[in-house]
Amino acid sequence: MKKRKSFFWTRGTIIFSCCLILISFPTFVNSQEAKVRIGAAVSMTGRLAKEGSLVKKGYETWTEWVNGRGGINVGGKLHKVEMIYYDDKADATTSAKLTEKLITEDKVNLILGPYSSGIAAATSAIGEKYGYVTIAPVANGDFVYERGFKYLFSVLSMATQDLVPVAELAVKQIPKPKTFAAVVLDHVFTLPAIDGVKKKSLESGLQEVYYGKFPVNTSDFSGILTTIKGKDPDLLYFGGFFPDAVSFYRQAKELNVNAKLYTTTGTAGHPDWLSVMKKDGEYVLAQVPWHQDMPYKGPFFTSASFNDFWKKKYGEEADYFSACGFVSGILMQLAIEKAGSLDQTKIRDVLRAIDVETFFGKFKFDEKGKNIAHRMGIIQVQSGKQVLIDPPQPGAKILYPAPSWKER
Amino acid sequence: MLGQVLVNGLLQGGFYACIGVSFSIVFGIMKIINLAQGTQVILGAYITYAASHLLGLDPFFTLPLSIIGLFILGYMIQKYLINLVAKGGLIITSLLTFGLNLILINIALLIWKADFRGTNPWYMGMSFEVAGVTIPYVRLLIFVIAILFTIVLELFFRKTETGNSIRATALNPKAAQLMGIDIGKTYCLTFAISSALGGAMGTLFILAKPISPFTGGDFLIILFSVAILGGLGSIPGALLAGIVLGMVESFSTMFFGIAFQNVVLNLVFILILIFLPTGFMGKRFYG
Amino acid sequence: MVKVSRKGWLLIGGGFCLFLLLAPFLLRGYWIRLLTNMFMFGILAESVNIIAGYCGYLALGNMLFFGLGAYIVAVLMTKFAFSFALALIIAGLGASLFSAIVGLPILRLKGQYFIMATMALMELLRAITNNIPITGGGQGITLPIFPGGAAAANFFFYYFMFGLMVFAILCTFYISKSRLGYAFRAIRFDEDAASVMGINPTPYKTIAWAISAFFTGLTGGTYAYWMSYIDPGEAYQIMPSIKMYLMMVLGGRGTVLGPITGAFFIEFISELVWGKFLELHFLILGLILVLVVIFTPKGFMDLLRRGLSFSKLMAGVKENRV
Repeated sequence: MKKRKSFFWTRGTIIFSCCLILISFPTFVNSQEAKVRIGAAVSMTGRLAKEGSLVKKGYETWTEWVNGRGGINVGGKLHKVEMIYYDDKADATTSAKLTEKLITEDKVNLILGPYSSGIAAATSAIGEKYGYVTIAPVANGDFVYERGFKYLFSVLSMATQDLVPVAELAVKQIPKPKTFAAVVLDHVFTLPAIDGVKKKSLESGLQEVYYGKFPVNTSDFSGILTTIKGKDPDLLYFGGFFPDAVSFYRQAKELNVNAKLYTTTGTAGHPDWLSVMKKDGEYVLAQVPWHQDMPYKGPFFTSASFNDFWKKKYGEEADYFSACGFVSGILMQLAIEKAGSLDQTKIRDVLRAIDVETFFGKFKFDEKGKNIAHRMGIIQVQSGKQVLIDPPQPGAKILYPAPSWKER
Repeated sequence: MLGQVLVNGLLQGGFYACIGVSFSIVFGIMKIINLAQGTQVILGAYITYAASHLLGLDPFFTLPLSIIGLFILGYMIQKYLINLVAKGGLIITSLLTFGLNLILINIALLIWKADFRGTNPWYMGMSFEVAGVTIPYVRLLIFVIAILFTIVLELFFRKTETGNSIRATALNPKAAQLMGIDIGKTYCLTFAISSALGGAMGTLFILAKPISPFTGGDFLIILFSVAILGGLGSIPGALLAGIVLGMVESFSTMFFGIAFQNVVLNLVFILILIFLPTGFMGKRFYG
Repeated sequence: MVKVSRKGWLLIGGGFCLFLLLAPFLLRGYWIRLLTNMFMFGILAESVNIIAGYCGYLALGNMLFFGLGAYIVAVLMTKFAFSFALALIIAGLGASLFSAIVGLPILRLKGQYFIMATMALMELLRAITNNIPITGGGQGITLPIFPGGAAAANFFFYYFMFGLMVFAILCTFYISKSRLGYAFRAIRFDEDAASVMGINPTPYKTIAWAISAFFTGLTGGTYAYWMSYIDPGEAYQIMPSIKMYLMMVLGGRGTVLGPITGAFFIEFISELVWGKFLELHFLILGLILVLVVIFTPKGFMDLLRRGLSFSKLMAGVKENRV
């Protein structure tokens, strides 16, 4: 008995010291080379794993690309970029912890923000306290930017603006639509976008015939669709996560609910939409932060050449999540090079004054950190492709009115 | 309009009933809350996805694959994990199944990544009309299959010797053991049947909605509701409960708006728990 | 040979407490946050311990009080300009009151039924929170930011959570020694027998849940102010509930310090593991859960007390095996 106990204690000591070594491990790797350390806590697991991992792919590709060019020029000296990733599990507590870890333990120079607005609301408060510049690639919930933060910058325009171009497009069509129905997931992601387009539609003289919120995890939309069918709206606005949009439009087909124009928040522009929905995904509109057919030119890429670069590397078209990740890197690079230092306040001031066009679009921030120069593109799924219809493209035309489900 | 709402509720209810039964039998017979059941359903859906994409099979014809696959998995899980702690009480078994849930999710994540996977056979979305009520073929087929499985399972429990020994074990494990029933094996079989049924439901589910490894958690409250409302492990009760649930959902959407669906659903559930703790058709004991 | 006597344990414990008291002066921000997080889970596990460990009622949806407390604080601070202290007290008492009201009917349910009722109750609260305008619905609600710099905020929340945890421990200690504790244990052991012995279970169960809800509500309220943003999906979650139970079981059910040690252990281990294995942490946490319930169903402390050996481990397994 005695012997066994001592055995346990020695083993315990060994395990404990191993733990200590493990913890202190990051402090051992201090290399001599000049580096810019950038930290990112993104969702690799959890509900937003797919989107999060695409954004991460954008970061990774940018890091590789910029290091391939020698690195970032800080005050005349090239610095290689070192990225540190953590998985925030789509959980705010974890994300807050990791953000603090990035700042105080890993001593990163800059922070790239998390994927979703809810999490960004928690982590941006920490970045702010430490006076760390945070660039948020995809988190564009308006409320995040209404708290008077000075170090937070959004790559995208605000969520309430997301679908506004759809309403603008719709009222220009002939025959002119008169009514709309809006169905929205009760979530921080989708509410602002649908509320924004709803407001714009009402202002444009359209009449609301149905507005319904549905809870997370709804799989059966037949109740809503039955009600909508009775109202026969011209426009259908749908806000929801990817699986929600799929079941919603599938069931719309099943119950033969027709409209002249179908809209989703983002999901029809999602890379998985075409493979899952196939023919049933046609004619649906969605906003995309970026598209390869956009006309933007930048210092390193144009919209089209970025897509070529991506295709050459991965053999697939660039998706907008990755583009958001990539452009966050470029934005950071531009700011650092212009500031000529890694000082947070200097970088912040540069960002605040920046007025630049990149392959992704324009950047100009207001005092709240919102990107006021960015405008969402609108795509429509046409013959198995996500075709950019706004900003207007030569040769691309909105298909309106969409044929009824039975006629397809 | 009213007819449509009724049919919507009924069709959705059939699916709820069957998925609820799969949870309810483990719950009723072994007193185990299987928190991994949702993810088992998703694994069934992944088998269908893989088979229909790799082999080009029609999703409905992959049913045997998901049933057999999950049957084997369920048997293994019970034999090598749950049986080790089966006497440990609720908290231990619940924690175990939750841990299992995490492991299964992670495995699915490693194999299929976090992408959304769905099927889209040619007949997807087709429907016919009867007296102004639209009935989608796929949903009707899902309903019929779900009900069929439920009835077959009930017959299995009532009419076969194995079924009888399972029910005897539920009633009194010690007495059953004295009668020469191998409790461990009976438990394995019960869990395997439950998993297999869950797997079959996965095949049906992926026809309605795309899945990712994290979708399984969404079923939890439905599983609970059907099992409780139906009564401890009662299959006819679960069938009724599933359909009632579908109806409640369908009608609450119509009257209160879908936003309040979860409020109504959970409130009804809690009230029934309080006032009718044995459910619609439950008895004090299973058997 | 290290034989730790009672005195030795006291010394180790005292040293550890001293370390915790001085930690914010010694450590950087991340470690302070990590410790604060550990305290938070410590309180949560301890409050679950009161209702589940002592009383035997497995309130698996106990996080409902966390969400309730968080929302009470958030709404009072933003919509009615309450101070944090006042809002927090109301949150704790409110959660307690709510538990007493719903507890009267729900605590009559036993076993699985009680588990599911608490989970449904949590879902119900989330659904309601989603649908009333004052909470901001699905959009969530942002709270005022703690005034002062990063260090000040870290200090405040560290000591606040620490204080709450000590309060919870003392409370549990008092309960375990008092008549209340005996009544709770009697109820867990055999409710019918307890009532025959002259213990009317209803008020005791209600008190147990109210205390549990009180601490959970306070923690939720503090969390909301700490994070400065909550939404319904974040506030009412099932995952932390399960984690609380894991901590409690690992540390030892129905002991005063068990849940706290369990919480520290799990949080510390997961922190070590998470960063290293990005794609495997579900698997690892799952494996820990499975191994813990199979090999140490009575808690790690119990195992230590009996001595760690292979045959002892296997004996533990045999006990629960079918």
